[in-house]
Amino acid sequence: MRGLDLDDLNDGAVAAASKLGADDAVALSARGADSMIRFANNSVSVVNRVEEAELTVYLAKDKRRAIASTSNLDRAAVKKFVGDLYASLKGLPESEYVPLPDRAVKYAPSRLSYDRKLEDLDDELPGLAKLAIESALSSGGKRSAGVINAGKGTISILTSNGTVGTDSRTAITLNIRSFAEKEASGHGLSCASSLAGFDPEEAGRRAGEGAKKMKDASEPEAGKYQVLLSPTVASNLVETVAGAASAFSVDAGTSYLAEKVGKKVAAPGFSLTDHGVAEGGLGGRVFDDEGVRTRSNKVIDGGVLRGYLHNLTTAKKWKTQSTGNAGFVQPHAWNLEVGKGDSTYEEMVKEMKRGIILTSNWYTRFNNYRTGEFSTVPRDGAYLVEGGKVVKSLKGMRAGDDLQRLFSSVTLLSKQREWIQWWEVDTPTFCPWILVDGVNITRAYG
Amino acid sequence: MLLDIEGRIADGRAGVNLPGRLLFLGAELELRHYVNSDGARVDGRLPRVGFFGSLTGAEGGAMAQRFIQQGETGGLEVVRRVKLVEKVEEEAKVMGKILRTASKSPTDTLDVVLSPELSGIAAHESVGHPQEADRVLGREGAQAGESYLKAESLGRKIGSLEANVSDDPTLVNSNGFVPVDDEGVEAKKRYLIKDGVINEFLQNRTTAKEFGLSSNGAARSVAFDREPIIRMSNTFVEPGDYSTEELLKEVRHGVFFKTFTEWNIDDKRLNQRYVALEAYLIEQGELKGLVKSPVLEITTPKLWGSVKARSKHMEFEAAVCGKGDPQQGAPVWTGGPETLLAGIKLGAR
Repeated sequence: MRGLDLDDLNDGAVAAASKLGADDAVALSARGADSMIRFANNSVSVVNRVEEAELTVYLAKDKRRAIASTSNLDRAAVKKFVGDLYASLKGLPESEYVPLPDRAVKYAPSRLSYDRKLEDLDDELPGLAKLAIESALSSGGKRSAGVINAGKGTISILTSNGTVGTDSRTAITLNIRSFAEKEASGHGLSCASSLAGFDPEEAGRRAGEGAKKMKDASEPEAGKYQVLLSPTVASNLVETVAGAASAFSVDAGTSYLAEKVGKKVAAPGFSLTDHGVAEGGLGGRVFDDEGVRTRSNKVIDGGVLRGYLHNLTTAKKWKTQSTGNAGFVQPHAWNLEVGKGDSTYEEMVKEMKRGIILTSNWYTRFNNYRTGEFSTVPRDGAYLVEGGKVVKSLKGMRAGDDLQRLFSSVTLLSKQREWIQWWEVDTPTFCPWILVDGVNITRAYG
Repeated sequence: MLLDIEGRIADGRAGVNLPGRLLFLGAELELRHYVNSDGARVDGRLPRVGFFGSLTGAEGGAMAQRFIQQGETGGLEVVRRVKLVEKVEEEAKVMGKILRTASKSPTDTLDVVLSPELSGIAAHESVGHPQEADRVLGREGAQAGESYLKAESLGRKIGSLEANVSDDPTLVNSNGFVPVDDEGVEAKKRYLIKDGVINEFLQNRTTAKEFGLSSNGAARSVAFDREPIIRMSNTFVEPGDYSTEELLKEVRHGVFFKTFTEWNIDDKRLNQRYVALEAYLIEQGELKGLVKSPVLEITTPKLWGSVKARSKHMEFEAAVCGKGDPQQGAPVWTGGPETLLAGIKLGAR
């Protein structure tokens, strides 16, 4: 694996495709090394290191297109893989086809979010996990479960029109839950692209304190509430907005943002931007899967939908330019940023007459992606606020809304923002606390 | 096959305007070679076929969405055998009826009949998951969560005598067919809830040792370089002895949940929600008109404690179950008969 030359791999794949007669070919090769430590009940349960490499090839011939990936990277195997993929084109119908850009781009090697200290952290992970666990214990959590993932990844591209580039990045994330007693739990995250930005003690403290506060939690009355969404919860919902902003979702009938470009889809204070590369960003790269340079795209600005995320194919259909968000099939976001507000967390709580603070959630599911109707299940710290003060902790509820109404009802955003990426948030998101009016809270009837 | 489906449902040909149609068909071949020092040796070759479809219907300002999932172990002959093309076309026709005729759902306390699709998702979410022994022991706490059950919950009464739920990896042709697990243990049927009592947890070798038991073969990994963890296979409500018609005749006032859209459950698997898409009012034992988006939001003990009767008509749906870090999506079946729940308070969207 360590001796694997991604450029050689790409050269071999594109040369084989060109020799066969492909009109367009793209080779994307990626190599990653990820270390993981998991713990449960305050003890390490799993230590894991995975080194993987993969080649993805896109071919087009006579308006027929095919994409496939392989992890068998032997030179002869790659040649056969490309040959088989090319042969499969014959059985396909013609599809919407857009040629790769004529102009070749030579990207300088990019290491915008790279920290050498994260390259090989195996020996450090037990100590970092211990810091998080002990911090949670000293903050009120009796037992903790969690995972630290640390790793590096490099991806290289070569296209048949001569575009070439390499991008490398590192990331480290901690997800910790602490339990104080039955049904009393708190949650903490720390997500960074550098070791200096990683704070396992703070994440452990939040989880431990959250668990302690959740003792004696009770179920709320069902009804409409002001809801203060933590960056963790807000990022989960924001990611679904970005999914709806993919032109593919619009075409497939699974976007509530269909027919809304130029229209209000959120409160005036809400903005959402996708960055191909972002300072401190845990995801993204300088080129997309089609070799187009990535950039920053304002998705929602001042509450107005500015446009969709495109690859070459969707851009042609929508008579616009690629936004550098390919996915060969499906355009997608790289790093999301929600614009900050001017409130502190404390000021936001004071604004709440009768509301609920949600610190974590999971299992967001849609009744209808086209209308944006969904519900999500809060977990860990949840608190009832009356007259600007936290009065008790809450459990056993569900929040339901539709995305347009929810983001149109945003009243305040915090100055403070955090990077979020964890089990429930795939796309790294830089997100503030968000206060929303009129969210429907339900609970089980029996 | 996908173009055949498209040809039958596009441009209003199924009697409904479907502005969004997303159809996936996948075929895979899983090769498995497993050896351990305990004497197990497995050479497996498992073809699998899966379909996912999303239909978005719009008529007269109303919109609806249906997600269809089918999958089995086998080759592409499965697609024809399950009549996939006809099934999707029929779903499209039903969506048109829902958009045109569904009326407001009742929200009082009544009887609910769960279809095989609803029985299956409830069995998977609120029986299979909380009875995974690794969750019970806290091993999945930071991700998939824990369980409302504890190690000492074996033998606890959780449902009525009619509540019987099993997980069976030995069903040939099923989506969750795992004849030998990924710790080399021969798989067998697991009786999770038997006559309303928590009977058995899903175990791997490690958790079984902590319980003083033997593994019941529930360890699965989705790739050679992923950790085998405790997984369901084919989880279902056991059949009863009523015909579907006899079961419906038992209902004076109720709602039949036939298909669902939105669903979720808390991470202890105690508080769950299912929102129906195709649902019918039942009056005096007969199906009446379609009703719009009834919501079953209920605790696990209440749900399984309300089971009054089960039909003998079984069906299964395919699903991909998510668990693990990194995520391991495992193919499973969920299923069951029509299941009658008595005295349920409904909500509506």
